[in-house]
Amino acid sequence: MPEQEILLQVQNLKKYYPIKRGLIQRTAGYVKAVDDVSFDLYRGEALGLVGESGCGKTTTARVILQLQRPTAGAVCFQGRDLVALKGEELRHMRTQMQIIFQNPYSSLNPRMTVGRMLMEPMAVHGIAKGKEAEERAAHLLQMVGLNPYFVNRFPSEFSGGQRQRIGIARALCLNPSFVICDEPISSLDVSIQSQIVNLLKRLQRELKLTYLFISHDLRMVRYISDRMAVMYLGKVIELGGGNRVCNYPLHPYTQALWSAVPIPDPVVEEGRERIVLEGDVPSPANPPTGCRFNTRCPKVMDVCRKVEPEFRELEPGHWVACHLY
Amino acid sequence: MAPLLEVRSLEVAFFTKDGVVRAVNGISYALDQGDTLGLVGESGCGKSVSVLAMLRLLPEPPARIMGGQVLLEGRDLLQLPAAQRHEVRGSQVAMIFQDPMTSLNPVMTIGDQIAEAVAVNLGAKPREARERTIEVLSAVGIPNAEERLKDYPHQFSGGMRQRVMIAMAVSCRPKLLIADEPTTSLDVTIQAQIVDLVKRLQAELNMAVIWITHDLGVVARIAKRITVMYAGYIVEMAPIKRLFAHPQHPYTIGLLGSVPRMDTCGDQELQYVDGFPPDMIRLPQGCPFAPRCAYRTEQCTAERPELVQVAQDHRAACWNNEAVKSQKNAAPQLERA
Repeated sequence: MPEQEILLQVQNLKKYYPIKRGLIQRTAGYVKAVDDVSFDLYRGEALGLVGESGCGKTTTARVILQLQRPTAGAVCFQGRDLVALKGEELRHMRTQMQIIFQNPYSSLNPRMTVGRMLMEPMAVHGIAKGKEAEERAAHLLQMVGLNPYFVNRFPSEFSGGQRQRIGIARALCLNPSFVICDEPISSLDVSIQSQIVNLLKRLQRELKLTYLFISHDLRMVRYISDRMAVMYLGKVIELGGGNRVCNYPLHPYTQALWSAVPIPDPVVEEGRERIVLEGDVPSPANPPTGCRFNTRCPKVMDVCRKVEPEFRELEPGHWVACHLY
Repeated sequence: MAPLLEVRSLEVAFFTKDGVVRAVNGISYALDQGDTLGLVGESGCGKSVSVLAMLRLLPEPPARIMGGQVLLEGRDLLQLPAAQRHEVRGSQVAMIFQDPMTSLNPVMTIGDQIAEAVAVNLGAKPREARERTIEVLSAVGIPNAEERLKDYPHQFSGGMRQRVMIAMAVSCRPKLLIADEPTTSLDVTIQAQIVDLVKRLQAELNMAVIWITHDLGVVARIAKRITVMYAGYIVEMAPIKRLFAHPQHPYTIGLLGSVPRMDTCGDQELQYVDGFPPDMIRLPQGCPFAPRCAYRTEQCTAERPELVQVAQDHRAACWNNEAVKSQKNAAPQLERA
């Protein structure tokens, strides 16, 4: 990895949710949704975060943005620790970081016109007012491939793909440098998905955005990301350049995950050897000791059940947490 | 040999207060015993409606079957009286759905649910039904099947629930299994388990399978033939390898181009289909895909193309077959055999 400016640094991030039981609501344990996650994000890159449902991808995103406060750890954005910031200071930092949500049906206020949705944040943060804000809103709509005349319409007048475009315009209205895309395409149809992904890619190029792209659709993440991180049960188990992680996955879970992704080509599918994992993901409230993947791992050894593997840099820029290496 | 299932010009419409939604507009296909057909298309293209109509599972009204025949071993399912139709469902044709949580009864143990199906469809006595239930649950890979009979659906994970659904569907050894997006709500590793399971059961029971999906990857894994639907019409139909190697219809080409692959280096621009699907109440007069089509001509907007043979065992509905072919060769990423 060449020398690059670090935009965001996530250090030993943890988010535990208490499980309350009984009459006096005693804490009976914790769901370790995110458990000791660290990674850097370079300016201008797209980092893909993949994993199965419940592995902590979305929680990681929310904790990074301080929409939920972490249990422990630090999130340094341009050198400042967001966890330590409060009130006005944090609000000011928020203009730099935005999020695009999964469901374009529930994440837009049904009683607000598109124009108001785009102009309100500008007014709140004092970026633009009046005529200037209107012009900016129209320009944003054009940028995401919508007709600028749509400013006076309500979300219900749009299709899913168009709504997602509005969601993207809203995320961009404050000129952020960092955007988290939390499953931005999973509720859309196939032909619309590729429209949105291509739009996100174009905007990244034009506006020099940094993305954290979260999805369970490995093919789309692979397509859009420069680097990829794989999560399993609250931990990042592998991280590296997109091509590296995809073509030479090291962790047995990554290997199994890749081989489970169908390739849209019957000839390749026929001759493909697949690793089919047994069983389900264990509960994050009671994760297995040692390596968390040991209950499903095809290459499990004795040591995996006892000792948690360290997250190590095996080759330059390629990190993995596994006892095999 | 006569096919197991033959659908002939099936037409379904919904009569709503906004107008008539033409959901399925005369589709025909045939399926042999033990064969797998992939029914591919985006939401609202009529793929689910067409199979629900086959079994008369749609609420009528607002739905109305406007015409066509559905022949299962020569018998027209659409014309059967209610009692006989009931007999066909479950024992000859079974169905699994996308969301196993909403299709299982939450207040009934899974043992009772499956045993009930067995008792009703095969006339089994309670003890036989119980034994059969344990047998099918083990067959679909539920560990400790006997103990889990007493469990309710919420006590199972998503993948396990789908296995329970499949167990119920195959409990009466149907000749045809209809799978309506059964893996869409599941994670990829679980998805792979379910696809393998259905493939195995299909071989063991010699079932025909109709697999409805929008995921071309999953279809490549399971189907032998593919039918692509758009706006209630079949736009292309071919054996699977043929369709992936030589897609003819611009919509199919667009769909194939819009799925990135894991196995090839991916810096090529993802193709996409411009615009969005048509309003099913006001379908365009000509080819339904014309407004989004890059190869559109005047003929396309004026007249709807029929599904015609373009090669052996390969049919497509497009006016510009020759044009599509030559353009396709110019687009490098579609050029693989």
